[in-house]
Amino acid sequence: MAKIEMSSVVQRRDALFANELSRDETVMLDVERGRYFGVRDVGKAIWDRLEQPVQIEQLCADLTETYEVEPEQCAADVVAFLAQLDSQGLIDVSPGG
Amino acid sequence: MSNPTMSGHGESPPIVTAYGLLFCSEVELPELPSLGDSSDAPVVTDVDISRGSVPDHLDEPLQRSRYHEANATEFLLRVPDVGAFFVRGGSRIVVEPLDGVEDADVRVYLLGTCMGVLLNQRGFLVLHTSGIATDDGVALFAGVSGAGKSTLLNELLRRGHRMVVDDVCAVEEGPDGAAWVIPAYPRTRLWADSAARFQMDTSALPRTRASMEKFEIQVPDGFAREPRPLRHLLILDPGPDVEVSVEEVSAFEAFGMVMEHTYRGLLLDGLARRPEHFRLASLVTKSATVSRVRRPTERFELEQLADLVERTVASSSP
Repeated sequence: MAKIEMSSVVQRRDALFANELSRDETVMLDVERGRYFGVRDVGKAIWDRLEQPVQIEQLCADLTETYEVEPEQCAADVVAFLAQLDSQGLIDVSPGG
Repeated sequence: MSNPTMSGHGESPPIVTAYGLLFCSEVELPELPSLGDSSDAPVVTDVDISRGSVPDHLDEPLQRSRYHEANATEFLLRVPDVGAFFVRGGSRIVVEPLDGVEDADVRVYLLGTCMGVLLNQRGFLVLHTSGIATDDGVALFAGVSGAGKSTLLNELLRRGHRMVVDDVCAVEEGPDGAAWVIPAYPRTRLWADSAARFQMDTSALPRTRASMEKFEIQVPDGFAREPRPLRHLLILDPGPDVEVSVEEVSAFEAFGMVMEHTYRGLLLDGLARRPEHFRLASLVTKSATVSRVRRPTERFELEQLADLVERTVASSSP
């Protein structure tokens, strides 16, 4: 598992099926392991931004424009959330260039 | 042919219909409406059900247990004391009953697990629900065994609603891109205690299985046969000391309920249906209003429950 830093680039894993259930809720199927996951609200807003590879720094800049949150808090929350997704094998993390 | 009574007569089996499909069946299926003898006119049927020998094993099973083997196109079921069943390509079922087994016991598996597998092979999402037609579509009821699906259905039939399914429910993506229900066939089942509640005389009714106090009830006039959009999914959830009530659930919870009430969900991986099931389960969650319906475990409160369901399904989705 790659270390998640502000310069890391993250993206949804390919082998994943995802369906939007409502504006605020998305479910995913990890077909290899037959497991389901869900993201909602801000978690879904982050997930929606992971379709293409994105640097975490850029992702946080995006989110602070949309949500009322201090940049430091945002960075901490985003990294913690991405670490959760990563631990479940839902995203690919690569070191930034 | 393993069954000598079926061979050598040159008689064509009758064509029967269910789930919008035509079946030509050597096993008598009195619960399915008949379209007459297959020798009357050449009819292209969708599914052939025959008596014969079932293979011992599948070549490349994706899933296997003591009782079944499955892959993307074939399914093999062995039921102790009943016989073996083989379902292939969504178009063929072969049954090989043990000597002396009654047709009623064969039909339980034919119209149950085998039909569920066949519908999966044909691309449907299969739910374990009963349901009625509403003004704008279909309302389905799910719940664990004993939650009251069939009893509620029979009360709603008594009130003049038309049924679409009792037990194995086929759902597909409809012409508008939403989830639609393909009606099953005009038959409900009731346990003896529920039949007594409706003051039915069960002495002349066929039993689901010879050994069971469960009866088959035909409702030829109370059946809606056209496919309809799925508007409501009601999960019957009895609890100790709760009032009869209804509450809409979140999309996540709704999705979990569709997973939970998927018919024979344990077979999805064996049938290679997991990704498509996921797509259709999500579609159901988006298409239908999913609600939890509570009632006290101690009392059925059937009148009150049916009133509540009628009010809930009458309120159209936006």
